Amino acid sequence: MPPVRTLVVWCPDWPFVAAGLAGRPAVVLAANRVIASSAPARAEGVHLGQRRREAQACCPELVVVDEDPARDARGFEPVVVAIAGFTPRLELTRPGVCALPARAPARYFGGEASLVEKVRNTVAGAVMAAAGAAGGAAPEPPCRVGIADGPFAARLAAREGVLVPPGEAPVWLRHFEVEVLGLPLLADVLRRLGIRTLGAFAELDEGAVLARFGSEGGLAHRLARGLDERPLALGDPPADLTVCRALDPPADRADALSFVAVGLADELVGRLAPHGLAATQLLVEAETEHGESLQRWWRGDRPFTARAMVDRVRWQLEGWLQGPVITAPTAGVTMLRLTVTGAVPDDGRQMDLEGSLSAPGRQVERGLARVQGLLGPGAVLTAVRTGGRGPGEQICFVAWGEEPDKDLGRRANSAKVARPGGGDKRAFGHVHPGPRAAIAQAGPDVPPWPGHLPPPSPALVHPVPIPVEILGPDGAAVGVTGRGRCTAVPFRLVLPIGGSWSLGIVGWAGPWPADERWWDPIAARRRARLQVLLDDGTAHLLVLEQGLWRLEATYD
Amino acid sequence: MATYALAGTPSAAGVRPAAGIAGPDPRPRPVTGPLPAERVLPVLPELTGLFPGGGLPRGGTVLLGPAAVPDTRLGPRGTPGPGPALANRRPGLTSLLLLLLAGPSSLGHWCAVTGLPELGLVAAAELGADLDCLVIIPNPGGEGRWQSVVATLLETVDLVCLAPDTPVRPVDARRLAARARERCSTLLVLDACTPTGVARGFLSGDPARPGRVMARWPGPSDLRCAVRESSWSGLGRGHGLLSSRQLEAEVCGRGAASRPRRGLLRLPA
Repeated sequence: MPPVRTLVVWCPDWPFVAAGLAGRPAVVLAANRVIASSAPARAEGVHLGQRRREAQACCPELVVVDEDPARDARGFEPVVVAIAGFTPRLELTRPGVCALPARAPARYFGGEASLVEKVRNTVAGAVMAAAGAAGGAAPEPPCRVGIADGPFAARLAAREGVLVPPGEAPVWLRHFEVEVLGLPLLADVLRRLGIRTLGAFAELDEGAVLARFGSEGGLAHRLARGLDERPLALGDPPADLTVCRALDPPADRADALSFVAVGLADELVGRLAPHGLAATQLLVEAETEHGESLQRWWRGDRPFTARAMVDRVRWQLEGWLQGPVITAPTAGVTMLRLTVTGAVPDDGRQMDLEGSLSAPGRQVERGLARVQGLLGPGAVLTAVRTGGRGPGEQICFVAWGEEPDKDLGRRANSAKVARPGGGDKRAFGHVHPGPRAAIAQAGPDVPPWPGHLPPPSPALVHPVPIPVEILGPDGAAVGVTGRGRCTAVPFRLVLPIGGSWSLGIVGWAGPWPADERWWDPIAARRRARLQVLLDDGTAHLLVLEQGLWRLEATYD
Repeated sequence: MATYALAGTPSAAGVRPAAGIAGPDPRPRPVTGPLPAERVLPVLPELTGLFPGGGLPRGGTVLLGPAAVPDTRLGPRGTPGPGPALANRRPGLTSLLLLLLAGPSSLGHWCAVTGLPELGLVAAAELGADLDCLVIIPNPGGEGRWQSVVATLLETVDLVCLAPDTPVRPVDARRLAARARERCSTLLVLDACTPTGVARGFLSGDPARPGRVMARWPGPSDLRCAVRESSWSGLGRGHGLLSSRQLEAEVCGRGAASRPRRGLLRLPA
């Protein structure tokens, strides 16, 4: 069976369009390495795999953003909706790249050339609108469209912006370099063997390639020959590769739905595993109370893990639920269905030696998922260190299983209330690495935060600070002047306010004023902190805000 | 990570300094059969001398609470005292808890803390805990719910810290201790009368009985950790900064731990 005629839409530099940075030199970082760079940055000599410092040395005005597939997917949803006007049978490879079978739409829209033209115009409009919504300009060209036999050739055709006639893909592919296969290790070996192009690779004997490079190499060889990436040996697939969950009451939040998807994905992977299969293509369908439905096909570069499936579900539903009002559903989601539409033999994955120690084992993941089932997805938290002055501000909590989200940290953190748009990072004069990056590098990489409390930090941070009174020797309440001095020597601590219990203050230091976000009338906070040691041997951190002292934390 | 210095204890009558704390003990000691390494959870090197076997017993229940024998030295100094309930508290228990969490978590053992939304995680990280291996469940649910949550966690992670805020039924305590023993995980219970309880007492609008909010553990326990003495230094009257503290920790329990072991911990900034 010849490969399916496939049309691929490719939006170049999509992460930057979604972040509103298109047209400016920018890079996306993951683990301090550049994983994507915008065209102006590339022109300055920034390339993939560089460290942040190296990239900034190439281009000082570089804007650095963290990898955030959810943001990219959210921004891409309107574009997908625009393409869905041509055919509902869409397949998302990743945000920014989308494939659809070309045969039927081409007949309807009057030939492949005409279809390409129409898709290009439609998508260009959608990309411009998305870029405008994100606050940036659209790149030039906004999108590229190509048609060829099979998704792999079509992807390359889209990058070139050409239409490869039926049956000519093997010849057309011959001149590409082996790097386009997307397997750096294989490409490196081939290059050292003197095989530089796909044509030279395709001339090798199939059996010899399979013997030397394994199933991954065999698959690459098929692609190089212009064949379909059909699995090499698909055993009997399980009869039922659909899992479905009805939701009662309906869920209208992406995090609640992705929590449901965790169970579905586990079940799906569990059904494939006895057959030695792993999913490469996934259909995610959601249906609301009012009968609206959204279905998307997702194709992975490599077989989906359960976690990767959940990510796809979350991206898709976030884009839908939080998207433009016209396309957003009017009611909660009542049904979520995952279907595996493509599978390959599962060769397994090797865990790297270093990363496996603190990676949660299956037992931990399962157990904590059960606790989430008992208490709700937001009840199990992990902590991530962020910058901040007060003891409670230096930590932000992330629900178990969620990727640490910088916006979440900023919302949770009163000192860093997010501003609309992307301007909040620059407001602090520097861009700090993402929480996960900070924690992965063990604490010290949390950026310096002038004015934060020096260690040791208090062992107890009261979620609701306890109102207290501080009295001077004469029994009058102690305040703090505008110059940051106490109006009297703190002598006694009375708690609660008006209470009869008072403790003598035997040691104190401060007050340390913290005038935060003074430029923002809503988020501005003026506080002063005081460390006190009481005569019962306990030490506390007090904070004065709007004339009221509170016990913020205890050095227990 | 913070470093610790440990000095020998001021020798109270009949109590010898904890072994292995201040260098090798010159006197030959009867070996009480140290537990094999697989049967203990590692703790920070400074704490190994406090525990039989050099770590928290796997499958055991460890209480953190007031010392078993009332220590009159710790009464509130000065007058007028804030009331009998406040007199019961022992400052430093939370720091001891954070130290106990730091050892296993920094070596990649998963730890869970339930029912303690006040826990200062910055302090935990400063004392050496790895927040990547720490799971926080601030509110484990009401009666009938928290028991299953803790039971599930005992099957899941190596160390579960529980701070019950409702009275625990003896049958639940026995069941959870049995579950820990069966699953070879350690149950760490923050027992009654901690400053957390005091704070909660104020929050709950019942300042007259602040200590009551924290429940007592009515079940069996293998070890009981307590803070006998705690003092801060570095803070003057209007100058300085809380910079270091000294804790005298005591561990006693059954079997090999029946003789209390004490260690002086100095936590620098």
